[in-house]
Amino acid sequence: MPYSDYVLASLLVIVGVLIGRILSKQVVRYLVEKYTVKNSMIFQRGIFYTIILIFVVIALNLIGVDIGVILGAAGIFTVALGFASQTSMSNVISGMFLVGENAFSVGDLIQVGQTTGEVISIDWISVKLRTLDNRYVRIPNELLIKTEVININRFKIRRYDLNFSVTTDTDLDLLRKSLLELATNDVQCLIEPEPMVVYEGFTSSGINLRFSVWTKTDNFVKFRSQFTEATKKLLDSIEIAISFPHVSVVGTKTEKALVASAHEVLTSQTQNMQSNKEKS
Amino acid sequence: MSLWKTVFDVELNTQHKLRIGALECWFTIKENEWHFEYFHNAYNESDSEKPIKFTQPKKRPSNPGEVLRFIQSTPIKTLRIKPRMPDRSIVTKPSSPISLPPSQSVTLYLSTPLWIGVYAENQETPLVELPSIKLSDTWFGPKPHIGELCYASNFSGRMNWSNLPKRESRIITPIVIENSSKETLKLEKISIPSAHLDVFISANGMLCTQTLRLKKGKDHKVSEVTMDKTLIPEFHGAELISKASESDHSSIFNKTLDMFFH
Repeated sequence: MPYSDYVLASLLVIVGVLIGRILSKQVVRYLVEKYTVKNSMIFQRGIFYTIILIFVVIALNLIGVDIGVILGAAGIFTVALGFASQTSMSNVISGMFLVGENAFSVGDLIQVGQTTGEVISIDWISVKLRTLDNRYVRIPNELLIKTEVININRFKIRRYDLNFSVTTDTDLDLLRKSLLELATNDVQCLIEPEPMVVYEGFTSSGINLRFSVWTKTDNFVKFRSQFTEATKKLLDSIEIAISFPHVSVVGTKTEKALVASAHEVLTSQTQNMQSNKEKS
Repeated sequence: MSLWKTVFDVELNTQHKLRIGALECWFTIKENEWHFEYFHNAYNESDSEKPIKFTQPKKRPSNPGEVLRFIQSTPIKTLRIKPRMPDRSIVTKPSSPISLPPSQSVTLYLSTPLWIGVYAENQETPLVELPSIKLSDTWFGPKPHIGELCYASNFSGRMNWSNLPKRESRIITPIVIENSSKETLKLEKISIPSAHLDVFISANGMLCTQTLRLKKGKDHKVSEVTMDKTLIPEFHGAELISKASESDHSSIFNKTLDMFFH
């Protein structure tokens, strides 16, 4: 076998890699306009590996390797490989189901268990996420098929539920009217679906309520912060207090007198400490 | 001459102020760059009634607004401001419920708060696009995952052209609604596909768009949505001043009537 054939075969493989890379990128540039980024990426890889395979077969043929023998050996090898790569194959098949299901795409924000992040690639074996604090997380496709995946920004709008409690002496009509007015005047709150104030029941410390408003998903985090702040300011302005867990102690006259004297002692101590601080 | 038709010659180191609706913006022209500062005042209904003002004040804006800085290789000599329709559909609700009985056809005049596009020199694309009034967002669709994000507005449901108040910062869209079905058509809210509408200016400075025709057919499901190529008689001879941001109208014609009314 002339030495030049080996050189030519090697060159063929290199050319194959280059053509595969250029051609797959060109095809994807066209496909991206019609299909999602995720599907385009899969096409790109498929085209790339097919072209390389064609060039490798031609190169092997050139140096006189019998393809039939290779295919036979490949059959035995595949069986062995099948046993050895059960997990990988499971991931590959899970990946196919994931793509078919279209539960999320590249760029979506998803939550898997305790991990929340932006999908940066969907590959044969795993999905790669960039978490909100900029860490790289690799999640095997098999796990994604088995577990609950929340796609946070799949829909354009999202509801924000602000749960809090108010004291039992609160004027509930005034509270409802003021909260709905706050939502109506905030241009970031959607007019429809309508904002809601739902009183959910009594607790030992007050009345639980849910203030639900809808907003754009894109702006959700910023909105949540601003709206919570605005609600707190509103409650302060209408003098409605957020309740906190507390225990009322009811005792005999002697016990009450003891509590009162203890309170007096504490108050005088606090005043003394303050006056000492001012002097120093 | 109307503000919308004027090409302003701007001099170096000058400041211009535009007040329209609840929007106030300042343009400061410097060598090879210009600063654009804007803010929205708290809106009240009378803002739409106020005339548009374009002045050259010496004082700086009283409220600190959002600042944008544009740089160019050549000095800017001219500035143009054009009225534009909002970039998203507007969902308008009548101030009181309106019903259209069977075999009736009406023309409603709906007005939309305009957006402004600021163009430097003879550029085709606006450098800045801003609403004259900040409108609330709303969702228009049967469910929170089916539909589109729109702006919310209200309409009085005026049917006579002569009753329309002349407001400089609003654009009028005539909507012809035809009910050929055997059922009464309830107009609880209407979606105006703003991004698909061109803006025209009449000789007296009023702004309008093409007429939208919504027809409910005899069969309950049959509906038809079309856009007139000619303007209403009151606007004949009006000049096209601003093209729609969406030129492909097929998407609105493919919508069913349910996607315009609720």
